[in-house]
Amino acid sequence: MYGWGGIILKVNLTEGKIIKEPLKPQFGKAFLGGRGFNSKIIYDDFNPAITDPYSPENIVAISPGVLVGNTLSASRICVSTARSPVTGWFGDGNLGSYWGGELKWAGYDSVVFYGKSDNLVYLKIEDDRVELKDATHLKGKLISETDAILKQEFGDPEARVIAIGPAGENRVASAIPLERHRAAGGCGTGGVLGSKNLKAIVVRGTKGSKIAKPTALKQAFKEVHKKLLSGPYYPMFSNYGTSALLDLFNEGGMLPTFNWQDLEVESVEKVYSTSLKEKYSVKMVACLGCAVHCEHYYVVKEGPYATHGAGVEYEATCGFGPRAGGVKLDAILYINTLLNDLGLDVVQTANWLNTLRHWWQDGLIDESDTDGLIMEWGNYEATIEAIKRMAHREGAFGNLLADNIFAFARNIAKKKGIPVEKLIRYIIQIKGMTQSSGDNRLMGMGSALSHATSTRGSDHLRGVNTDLWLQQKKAEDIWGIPREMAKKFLELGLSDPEKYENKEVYVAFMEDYCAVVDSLGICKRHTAWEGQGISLEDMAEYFNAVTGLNYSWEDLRKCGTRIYNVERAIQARYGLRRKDDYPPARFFEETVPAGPRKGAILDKQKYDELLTKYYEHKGWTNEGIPTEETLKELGLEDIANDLKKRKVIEVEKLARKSGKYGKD
Amino acid sequence: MGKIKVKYLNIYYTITHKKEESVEFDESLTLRELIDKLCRSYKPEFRDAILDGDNKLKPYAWILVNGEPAKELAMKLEDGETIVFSLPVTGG
Repeated sequence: MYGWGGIILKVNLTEGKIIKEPLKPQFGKAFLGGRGFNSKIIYDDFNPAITDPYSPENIVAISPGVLVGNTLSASRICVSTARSPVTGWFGDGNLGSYWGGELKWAGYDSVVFYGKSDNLVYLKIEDDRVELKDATHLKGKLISETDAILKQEFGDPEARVIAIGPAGENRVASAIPLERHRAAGGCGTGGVLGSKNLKAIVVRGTKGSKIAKPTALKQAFKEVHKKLLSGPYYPMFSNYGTSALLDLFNEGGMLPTFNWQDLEVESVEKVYSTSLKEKYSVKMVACLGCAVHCEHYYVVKEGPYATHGAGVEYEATCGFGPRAGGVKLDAILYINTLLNDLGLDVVQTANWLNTLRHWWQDGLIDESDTDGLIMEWGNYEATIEAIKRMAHREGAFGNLLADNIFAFARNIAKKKGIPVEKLIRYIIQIKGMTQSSGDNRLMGMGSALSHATSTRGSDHLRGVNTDLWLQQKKAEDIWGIPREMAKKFLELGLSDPEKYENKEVYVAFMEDYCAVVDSLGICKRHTAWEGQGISLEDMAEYFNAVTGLNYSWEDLRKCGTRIYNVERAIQARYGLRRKDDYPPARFFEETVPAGPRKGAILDKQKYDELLTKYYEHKGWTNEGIPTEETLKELGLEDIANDLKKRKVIEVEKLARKSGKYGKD
Repeated sequence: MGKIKVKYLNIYYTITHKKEESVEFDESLTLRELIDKLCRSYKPEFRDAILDGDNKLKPYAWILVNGEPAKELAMKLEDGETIVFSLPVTGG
């Protein structure tokens, strides 16, 4: 097989056994790699009756996309997937890295962990030689320390390490695995790895990639490189990274502040990317072989927040800046380094702490609930202390917050006799996943639908991040998607962000698109998702050059549809239904308080209608469950049969017959 | 006599090396005239970033006047207004 390594590594940590399972060609052709592989492996191998994410029976799958490891700039994404302690549902996180390339060069497409080791261990992969090694000497070590020790022990500086920090070992729900500062952010697979007593995976591969058509790939590489460098956002991301988004969100009147209560914070320019560039950024760095060096390497030379690190994104500068009611950039950089070393997710951690601040503001919690920490807006000392206590489960406050913000809310509700719903309403979240720094009332209704229906909870990375970039007047100005689709979008009036009508067409397309991108292992920063130029046609060309297959962009899209339906079936099996596909309640109840779109709010009835149309468009029931027909059309007969066996599909059919679920 | 504040984000900051500056005008100033003035001050990069070969705005030029996207280049700018030059909102 060209393109794929040809082996899936299955590691049983309970028994200490490692199985090298040959990759079935049909599996590769249907699910591509990365996110697609993980989702199907989780569906097939995980018992959905297991509700505790820290059960030894949970499974963690880590896979690079099929295009990872070749010369193509932009292809380097790995995905880590499990039942998530953040949400309790299906969850995953993307990791832009060097590690994935090494894994592919060692000959593997996925590493899947089952069971639980008695002692702390790490997995060492050196081409064909794969072994579990004792990691008791790494207990409690930071990500950077673990990385340095394992590279030294390996004796090869080219070896690459994914590790968990103390937060993962302590089963903090928002813990994640990282390759140094490159985070598999999102759904907390770090705590699951910690519960399995797996500290790290170190890999060195020397076999190279198996490319079907090297000349065609070289040509594709040249063309994509040209496209990337001439793309409208290349100069912005290469100089300022995603932190540039804070500046333009603020100037455009879309920057959430004070946990989405406002759009303003005093002296906000102090956390602009231009300030970062002037004061602390030393250079820009890139992932494996990428032309877009979008990560700041930063140094704070002196003062209480002296630090150095890399990878400070918009989610950090906004989440610990304006959304936390503060603008201390040196403190934010210190926090960013701290999170990366402890192994914690930026988005979830920021949201949890900002929710505490919001409760504090409204008098719902006080020092007796926080072990003495003053959780006022802009209090950076309290933020840093809270993060440390949470990562180490220190004290009652740290221990409770480590379980997740919902557990904390339930505890406060019980302790103070407050209805838990009142507390949870403050959390900007969908399916338990707290939101990144966008506002569903302002980023377009396609974006609102996409966040709400995402298969891993509130997510800007799984479909439409914003409708705003469709506001170009001509189809040829809309980069990265097939021209006929761009024309269709404009004909349907999708360029108006405030309209609800027909947005299901755009959202469904982008969901398939993102599933393809995540499964090929391409960074979204280069694609239509970010207004950049790598199109589905380009992706088909690369895929064909690497694998020797002959896929059209429609064939690739169908793979994306298939992968999305597998994820939706996983969630349906867990119990997810229509009620879980709504934007945060506050966006239906609170108007935007300032800026050019003052007064904007989501309309419940219009959203309901859009959701129903979206389900119809996707071939799902009116409860959001893939129908038997849809699954079979995608070649997922096994899943259709399983859902029938588990009565998920039958129940829905009966409900539809009774008219309970409306016109579907 | 009027004065406006001009702010430069991302690629425009790279070109001008300024976060913002004041621009004064005698009687009136349109957005088009402001752009022409900035093209002269920061040539050739500013023009390359914002205008195409036909002297029209590039599709990815994003100009805000007091926080609202500018509708037309012929619009008159008023004393005290803030004009922002940037790429449009995207991603995350």
